[in-house]
Amino acid sequence: MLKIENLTKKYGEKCAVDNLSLEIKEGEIYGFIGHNGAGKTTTLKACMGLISFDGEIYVDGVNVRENPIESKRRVAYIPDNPDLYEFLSGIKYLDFVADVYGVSTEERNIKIAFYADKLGLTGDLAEPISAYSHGMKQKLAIISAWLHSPKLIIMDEPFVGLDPKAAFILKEMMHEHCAEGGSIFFSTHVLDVAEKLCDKIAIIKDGKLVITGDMETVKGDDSLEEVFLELLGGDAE
Amino acid sequence: MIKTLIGLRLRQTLSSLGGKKKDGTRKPLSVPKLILYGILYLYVIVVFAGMFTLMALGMASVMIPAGLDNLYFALFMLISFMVIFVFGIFETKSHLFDCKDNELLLSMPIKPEHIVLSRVFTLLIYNYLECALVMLPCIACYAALGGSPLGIIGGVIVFLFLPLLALTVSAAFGYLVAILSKKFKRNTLFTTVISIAFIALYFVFYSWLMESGTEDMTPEAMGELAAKLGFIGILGSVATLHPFYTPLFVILSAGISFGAYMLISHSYVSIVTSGGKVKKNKYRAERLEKRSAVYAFTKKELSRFFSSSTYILNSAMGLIFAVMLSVVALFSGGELILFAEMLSLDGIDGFGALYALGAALLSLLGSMTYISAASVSLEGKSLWIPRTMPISGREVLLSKTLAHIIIAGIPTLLSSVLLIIALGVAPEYMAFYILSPLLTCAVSAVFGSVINTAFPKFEFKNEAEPIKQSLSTFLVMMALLLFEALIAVGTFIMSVIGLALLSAVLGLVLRIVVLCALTFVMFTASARKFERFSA
Repeated sequence: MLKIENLTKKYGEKCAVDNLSLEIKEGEIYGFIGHNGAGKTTTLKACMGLISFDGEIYVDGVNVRENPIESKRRVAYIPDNPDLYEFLSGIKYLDFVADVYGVSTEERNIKIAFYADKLGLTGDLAEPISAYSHGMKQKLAIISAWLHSPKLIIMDEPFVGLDPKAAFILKEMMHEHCAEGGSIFFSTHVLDVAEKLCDKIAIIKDGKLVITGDMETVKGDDSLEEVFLELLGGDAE
Repeated sequence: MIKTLIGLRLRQTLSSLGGKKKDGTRKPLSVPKLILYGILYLYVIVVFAGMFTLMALGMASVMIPAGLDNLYFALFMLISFMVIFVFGIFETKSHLFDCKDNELLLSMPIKPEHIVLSRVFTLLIYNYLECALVMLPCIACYAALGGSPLGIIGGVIVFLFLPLLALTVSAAFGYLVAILSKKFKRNTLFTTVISIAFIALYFVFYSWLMESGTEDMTPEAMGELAAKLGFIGILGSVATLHPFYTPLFVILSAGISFGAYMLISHSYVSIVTSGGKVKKNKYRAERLEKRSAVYAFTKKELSRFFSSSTYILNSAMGLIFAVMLSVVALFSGGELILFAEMLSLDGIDGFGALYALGAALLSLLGSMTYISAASVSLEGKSLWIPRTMPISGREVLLSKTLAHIIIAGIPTLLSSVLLIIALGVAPEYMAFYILSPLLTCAVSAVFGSVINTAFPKFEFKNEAEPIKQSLSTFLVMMALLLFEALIAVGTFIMSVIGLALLSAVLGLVLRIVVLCALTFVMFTASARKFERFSA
């Protein structure tokens, strides 16, 4: 579903991501962990074509650089800080997203009602986004990501700002999405969540991939936290 | 602390002119860009200062010999006050109450009065610059045409204290709007209506002043004008060092400003942190229909525009002027027709000239609309949304352009129809009245998108920055004014030599050619650049 080949991203002299390669298959929940400034967000942004990069990235076989529009049709993205259009109401934002992704009239009405109800946002849909809390914006971004049935969902720190119930529901939604053949690639600092949720994991340090593979293979008999701290030489922030 | 905060505000203002490095950090203003900014700002200063110098020369040459020094200064004090106030309303409100770093600064161990003072200081710099454009030509012309030394000293005192008073009034207005807008659900509409009312008041005063001044500029007429002015006439005595009014003016300006500063400082926290007690919107599920991506983006742009009074009032002023001009023409069009008849008696095609110039003037006013010139910048932190969606740069820019045309097109068309009725435009010129302003509107929309993509400003503390203080808006404003002014001058010259109809045709052709060329650039180079923006 997602194939990253020799991804390198430099900001001036600084190498944010150095020759990173990984592959995410259908039905996988892939966790991406690393210390602050390790290169997680840069990698996720490169997958969305939000920044220029060296190397190749394919989404469902479509080259992100050569065919950006086609690759974006297959992906949904939730950034670490969802800066949405504050002047729109929640419902207008969702309608806008549905229009851009060509979601049918029938499907959008059903899905918006379903996910808004599930995440407890229905009563606030008429409110302007400017009146939303961080958690509510995050919920709206989650609904908009699921709205157009993407094959791949990329999320940067998706659990930040969510209340425990919404976090639980999101985990449920992630499982359901992958059970239906979709894939999820997300970054997190919450190692417990990653350990319980992910099928595969990748640990990045200073832009370089330190380890990747099945959760069980990576952590063995230890906890993910122990592995993470050991790999990062105890200097993780 | 105050020094640090003032330094921060000034650095923010200067750094916002510079670009961004690839690693996201700010880079200092490059020398060529610095020179470009210098030339552009110098151009504006020369235009405005020149305009006020001409006005001052005309008035001083009549009023000083007639001993009406008081009246002379009173008029310039009022103009200066109104200029600072009208241009400062939105600036004051956005700088004092709507800054994005309000919460950040308030969370730090900084006294609210220090935050307010640092912002007041930046605003005062703007106010002194605006006051200088009006008052310095006034004082210089007064001195050059034999004004008394007392008047010169008084003029300088006025220059030093008037900005304080004007800032206080605009801050009070901003304070009032900030408090009232918390109580209204549709606060954009509220702020827009109030602001337009103030601007209309300014223009009513200004046109009255011009009408009075263009009559016989004899000392007798001026004396009558002074009598009409009453209290305002007394105001002028401040500048001629009146033993009572001058100290009173100084004390009042300084005292009221200090009082207003204390009041705003005192209630600053509650104003910028209060969410207001607006009733919650109840959600009622309605069936959502599928539309195209361009439709969705255009609708989003329209919502963006109508949600912000700052955006409406700063980027669509030309539309307000165009409609006002047409309404005025409905009532006083007869005078223009009479003028055309008089020209015709001299063997000039007076009606042709009137018709051609009318269309050119309407286009000139239409060119003062810069909605799309800030629309790319206004994506700001939400730029990731269009950049992660399956939509091309071409479609995004088209949507921004279409939104501009929709917003500006309707009032433009209305102005054209009103002017056709007012002037009784001949059938062969009607098409120009409709097409020329509409084409200008399209040129302005496409040019705004092209320039804003070339010079975006995605990082800002408040939305007034990309709308009012960006290179993009400035370039669009100047280039469009120059373009339409050249067409108007050409039309005038050709009309005088009897080629009015041909001038109208040429103006139309020129606009079409420019529109086609700009559209090509927007759909190719600009669209590619938009698709490469990092988010």
